[in-house]
Amino acid sequence: MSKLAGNVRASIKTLLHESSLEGQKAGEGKKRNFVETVELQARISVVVGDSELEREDFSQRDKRFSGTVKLPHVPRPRMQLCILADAMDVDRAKQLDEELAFMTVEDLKKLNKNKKLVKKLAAKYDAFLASEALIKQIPRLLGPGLSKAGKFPSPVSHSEDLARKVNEVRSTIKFQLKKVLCLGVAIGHVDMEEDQIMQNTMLSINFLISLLKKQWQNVGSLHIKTTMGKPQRLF
Amino acid sequence: MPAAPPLAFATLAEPLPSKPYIVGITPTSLSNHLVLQHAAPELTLADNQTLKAVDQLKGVHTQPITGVVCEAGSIWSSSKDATIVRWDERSRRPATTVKAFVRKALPVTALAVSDSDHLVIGGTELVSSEAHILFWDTRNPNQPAYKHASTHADDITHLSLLPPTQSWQASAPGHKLPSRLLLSASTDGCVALSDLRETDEDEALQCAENWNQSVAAAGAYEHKGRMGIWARSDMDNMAMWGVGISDDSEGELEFNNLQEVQSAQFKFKDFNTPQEGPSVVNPVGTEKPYPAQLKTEYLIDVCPSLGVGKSFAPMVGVGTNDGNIVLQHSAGAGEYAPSAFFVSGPGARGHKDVVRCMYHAQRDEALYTGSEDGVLAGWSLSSLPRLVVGDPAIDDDGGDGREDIDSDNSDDEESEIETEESDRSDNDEDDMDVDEGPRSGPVLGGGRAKEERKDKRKGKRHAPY
Repeated sequence: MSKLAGNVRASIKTLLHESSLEGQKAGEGKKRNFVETVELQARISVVVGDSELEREDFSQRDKRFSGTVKLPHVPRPRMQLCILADAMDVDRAKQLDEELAFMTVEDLKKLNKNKKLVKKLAAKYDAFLASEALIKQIPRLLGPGLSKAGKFPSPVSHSEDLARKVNEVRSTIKFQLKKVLCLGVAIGHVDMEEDQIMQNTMLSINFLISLLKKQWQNVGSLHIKTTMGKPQRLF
Repeated sequence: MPAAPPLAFATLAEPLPSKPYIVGITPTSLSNHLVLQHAAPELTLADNQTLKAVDQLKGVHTQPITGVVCEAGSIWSSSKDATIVRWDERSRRPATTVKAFVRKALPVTALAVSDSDHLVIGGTELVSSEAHILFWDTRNPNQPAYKHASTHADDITHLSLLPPTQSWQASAPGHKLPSRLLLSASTDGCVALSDLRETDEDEALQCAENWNQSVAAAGAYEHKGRMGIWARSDMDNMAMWGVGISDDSEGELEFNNLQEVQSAQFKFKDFNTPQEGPSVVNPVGTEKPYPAQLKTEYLIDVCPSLGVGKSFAPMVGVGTNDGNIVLQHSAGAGEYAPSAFFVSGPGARGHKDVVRCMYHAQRDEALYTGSEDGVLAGWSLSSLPRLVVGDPAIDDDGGDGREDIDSDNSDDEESEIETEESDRSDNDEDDMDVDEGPRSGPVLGGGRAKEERKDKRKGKRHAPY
């Protein structure tokens, strides 16, 4: 594990160097005109040892491989959120340092359950929050539009710190493996500190391992890369 | 100081010859059989007394079966090959095939059947960015009668019907609840209740909750007159909600009182097993070593029928990769503690691989478990001290007159059933002598185990406490 940590740190250094202006000047990589995302890529190995049986084993298992984990540092700061708010949460949303879009019950009633308008609303934001008191009215006010888009709001109670909740949604990432045995997930961006990327990476790796039946034995390879950069092998 | 949780060996364990994964156990509606579901296009019928395979249902499905429902003499199975098949339980022949097809073939991943509504309901995988819930009229199964395509945004992993609404919820004034509610759960992280009989999908959804983690399975349970929903995620976390009517003027159906249990309560946790003493129950005289410590690695399933704690949290089964099981009860505020150790890993008979499913036969006081190495095991609960369910009113022997056993705090079995039966339980021994029926020997087959259990009980009764 400690060997891996050293490896990860070196790889992150390389990644950051190659996507920075200094790196470009040194002829090692290129600084891009946007903030590159840092992605963790994993290949899950089904063959432990070389038995063909194991391969069958994994496809047979038909257990879903899916999990969400909250990272210590926000990997997607530009994620757009909206809160469907009652009067009190409207005030709380206005008071946040960082702007948080909100919609009141009256705003929602204006949509009049119109499919197109609800769809448009769903497309406008990456995720929704809703005041606890309001959430049970959502099906009646909006119909199933948000569910269909996979953006049914998460509840926020009045006792919860709104800023923290927003932060939590922004820093939560999802691992999911469907029919192929590879997955990639955004864990940060190149404007983050090296240590921050490091912590996000280690937490993501540990979480990924905890989802696998045979833990490390099920990992084929682990890579880390920036949007446009070269992949760095970690494992 | 409460006594250590009991430790038991499998009363009976029977490996299937071809060693298929056993991923689901469902009792049939008429006979004393269990339908075993595999990660394959076939089902096995096993006898619930001997645990031996009796027959196989195969030859119709071409892809793994994803769901089984037994109702009114029929065995329904859904499959990834985009069909649902009804098998006749008596003849064990396929009777009806329903095709899940909306512009494309839709692999069916969840199944529910309501015989009284003449409805069979299939939840599908996400295809062309739609995850459908399809409703067929069993009298005309060529076309879905209607469909809900907007309830979820990813593969549907669970469907089931809640008991008729009137039975658990007096209607709120001014708001008429649908009489039948369909519970659905999905990889998109939502659990939802919708109106089973509503054909317009825009009106069907009644309430939903976004748990933000892929829901692997869910279920409804009733406890002390309240309706609850549990869900477990692919990360082995668990959540519970109450279902009720909001107390504002709107009177909407709502999920309330969310409780979450983190997977750390189930996963990668060490438990010391009791090594000797009265709580080590060994009904068939196996004298084989078992590990002093179990490290659990996954949540098997949630099982409200085993017992529900004071905080409204149902009991669960947790497993190790080499086949041991720890039953756990809610110890308050998101925590779980062991109720019993079911040892069948190395050294004992039974599972040697991941335990994938469990089924609690309440009437028979038996628990059945199935594993990835094709072993079906049965555990007699009546030979154990009562399991702790996490509710002091029951666990402290709340005056139900049952003077058992070796501890004052850590003995309880399934709450409601047990209290119902508690009057009988003192006469149980006598009953058993007379009663030769299947009731007494669910997984025990025959008199030997019965005798032994009887002795055990007697022993317990006379033990000082």
